[in-house]
Amino acid sequence: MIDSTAGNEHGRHAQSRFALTFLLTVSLGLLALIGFNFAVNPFGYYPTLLVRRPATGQDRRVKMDLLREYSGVYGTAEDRGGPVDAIIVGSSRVMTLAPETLRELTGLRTFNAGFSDALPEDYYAVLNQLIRRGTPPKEIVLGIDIIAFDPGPVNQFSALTPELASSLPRDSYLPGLVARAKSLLSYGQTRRGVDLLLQNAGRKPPEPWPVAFDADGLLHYVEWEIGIAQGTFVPEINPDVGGGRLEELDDARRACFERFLTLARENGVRVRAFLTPYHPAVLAYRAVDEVDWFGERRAAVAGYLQGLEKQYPGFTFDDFTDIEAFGGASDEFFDSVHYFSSNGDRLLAALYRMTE
Amino acid sequence: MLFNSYGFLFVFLPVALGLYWTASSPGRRKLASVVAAYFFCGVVSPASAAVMLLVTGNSYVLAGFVARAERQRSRRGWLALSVGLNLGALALFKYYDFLAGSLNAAAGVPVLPLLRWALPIGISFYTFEAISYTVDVYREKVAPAPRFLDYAYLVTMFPKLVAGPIARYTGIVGQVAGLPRRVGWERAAGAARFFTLGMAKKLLIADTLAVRLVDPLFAEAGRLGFVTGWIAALAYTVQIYMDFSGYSDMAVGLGLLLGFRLPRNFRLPFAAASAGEFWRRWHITLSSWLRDYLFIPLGGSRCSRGRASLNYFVTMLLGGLWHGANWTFVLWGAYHGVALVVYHWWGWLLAETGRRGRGRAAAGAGAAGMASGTQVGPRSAGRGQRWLRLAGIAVTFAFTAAGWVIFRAPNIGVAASVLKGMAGLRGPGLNTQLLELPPATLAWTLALLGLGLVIGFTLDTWELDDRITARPRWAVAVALGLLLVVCIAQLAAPSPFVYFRF
Repeated sequence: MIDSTAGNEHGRHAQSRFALTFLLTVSLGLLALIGFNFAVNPFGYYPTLLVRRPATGQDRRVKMDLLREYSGVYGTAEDRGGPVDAIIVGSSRVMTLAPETLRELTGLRTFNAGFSDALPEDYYAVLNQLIRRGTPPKEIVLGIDIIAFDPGPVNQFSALTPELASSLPRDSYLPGLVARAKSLLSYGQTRRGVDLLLQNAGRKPPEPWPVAFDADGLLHYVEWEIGIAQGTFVPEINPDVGGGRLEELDDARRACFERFLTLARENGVRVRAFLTPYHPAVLAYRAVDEVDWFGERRAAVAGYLQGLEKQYPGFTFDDFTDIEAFGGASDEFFDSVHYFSSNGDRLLAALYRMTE
Repeated sequence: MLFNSYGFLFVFLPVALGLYWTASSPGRRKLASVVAAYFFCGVVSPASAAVMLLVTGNSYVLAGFVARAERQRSRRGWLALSVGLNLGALALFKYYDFLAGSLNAAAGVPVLPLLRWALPIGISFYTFEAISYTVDVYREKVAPAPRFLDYAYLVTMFPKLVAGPIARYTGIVGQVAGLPRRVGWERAAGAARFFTLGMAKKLLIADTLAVRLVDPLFAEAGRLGFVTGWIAALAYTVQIYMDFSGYSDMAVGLGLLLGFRLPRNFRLPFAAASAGEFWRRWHITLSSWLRDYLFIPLGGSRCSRGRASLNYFVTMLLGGLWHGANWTFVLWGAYHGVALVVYHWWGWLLAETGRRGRGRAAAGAGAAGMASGTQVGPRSAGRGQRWLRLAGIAVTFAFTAAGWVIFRAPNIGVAASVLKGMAGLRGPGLNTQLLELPPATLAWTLALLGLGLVIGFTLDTWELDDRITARPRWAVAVALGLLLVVCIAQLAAPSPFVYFRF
């Protein structure tokens, strides 16, 4: 395979030229990729602001911009100004909880700071961010998914969002740095960057984003909500969700969650937590499993959180996995785990009724 | 650690190669290689590194006893102990839970407890290398390694550690004396070619087909018809070939960076014209290992036809089981075992009726079977024989593709369901909407499947490398460099190699 030109000076020279050309191409190619991703910065992972970004893309970036504006950091509007008193934290499963409903229930000015796939390190980062701004909330409504304590690397979406990255727990700093370095070589980012340049040059229409946010962070599933208004909406219920077998809750995630509770306690923040609900079809489907992995997992997470109630005054917990626990309606779900705001209103009302 | 990961490419590999080539003596170079291999394995799972030390340690020590023993009985005893310990480790970590689970299911009550131990990385590969070393020392094919370091250096070399090729100690020990002091441009150029082509096969073809075609279609096994069933089977056939041969190419490239030429593992397996020829082209280092250390000791083919048939069947059955502890692998091995038996009976029958030459062409390959290595190529055959060979290729390809369905399916029920669809028992199966792909993406993905098939039938990395080596053009170097950049940009979500789990 390599001996056909060996022993021949000309052949050796040709091979060395080949290898050098290859190395040079790879080096220049990688540098070009890194330079492009850093300069265009389509997801806002880096401080570069050379190219205008639309208010779409990754929801953490958008939420952080909205929160800054809503809490009047830039003093954009008087009626928006002032720090928030309460925040809603959790994954996409809390993003349809209406801040306005919470305001009506409590009188607290509320922002929905939930974002996709949020995990304990994200809860910590959001709270820490507000504390570092000098505006800690009085109250946190926290939706916890039963997969939130699964083992896994630090959530790289937060590690890639500058404000959240700087507010993550200290031991997440290095993984965050690595995630940002890796993303410099990401084809997904390059492709998005090219799209962004084409959009800015008017050669490509902006991609429609299937979601939109109110100023207070409330999520709207645009297409689904149009379907509901037109009477054409069909919920996408997949009963086979909820995660597989979980041997035990991850130590690192538990430690991170407890640091979040400690941070809340030290700053006088009350945390009302609940396990996020599932459509009844999921629970019915899981109930016939030979091994009740879902039930085991739910019991493990609920047991852990109930144990923490005693250790952390100001922290309360309710299990809303089953919608009957808060009087939810099974026909007000977009899919297996995402529910209408009207269901969210019932959940918030029950949460405050139970924990008062 | 995966070859297709940032950690491997940008941290482990430069550090390991730096330590290896700057070592001041051959002994230190060996030490650097062994430390790198243990780190490579241990960084994922320290227990895996410990098991590797136990397996390699016992085979080194016991092979020494085999060599030093004076009586044949003692030699045999040490050999049996070493092989038994290595197979015992394999049985414990890989097969115990499978056997206990099957027994418990058959009994209806838990008879044996399940251990649920993680499979140590690469155990199937280095265990076989360790066994072949001890057996070769017993057969006096090779002298025992003077030091453990000399032995571990060759058995635990990181490029081939986790998924082969199975490079026997006997086969590569001769290269140690001729190792250069520097990696050299020729080797670097060869490494660049093999590594890049292997990574492109894995990341650009195998992974795309897996995500877009194979996984969604196997998840809908009960709804597949003729067309969708065959798309699933063909896509997995291309996926596993591109995945495993891609890994092997990368391993060969990395081996060159350490100064070694690792053995070839594939030779256009899609172009095999018979079951026997398939196994001379697919996973060559495993099939030759099975031939030398299982099939021939069982009696090989130089015995009665009944006994030879049994030997073929048992060899393939155990070869199937080697791939994993699941009934699907047992069935897959039996499937190929039956095919080999039929193939050889066909050869014997034709030989008896005095039409051996024509019969061999009809069967499409050397009738001497797995061990002969004889091949009938299109150039050596007449026009009629060429058509017969093409028919043999088509039948063998369809047969092996159906076999891969058994291999891929999580259980025999799913395999049967996909095969039922392929047989047309659920209608034409034009329901490609199962894939939930936009038309343009579906068309593009099917074109990629077609490209994978063309590559699988016609383009061999080793032959391509020979051609590039003969005329190393700068444009090819630039194209390969850009191809590697594209591959690196795809690393954001690394996926494991199919053969890692074996």
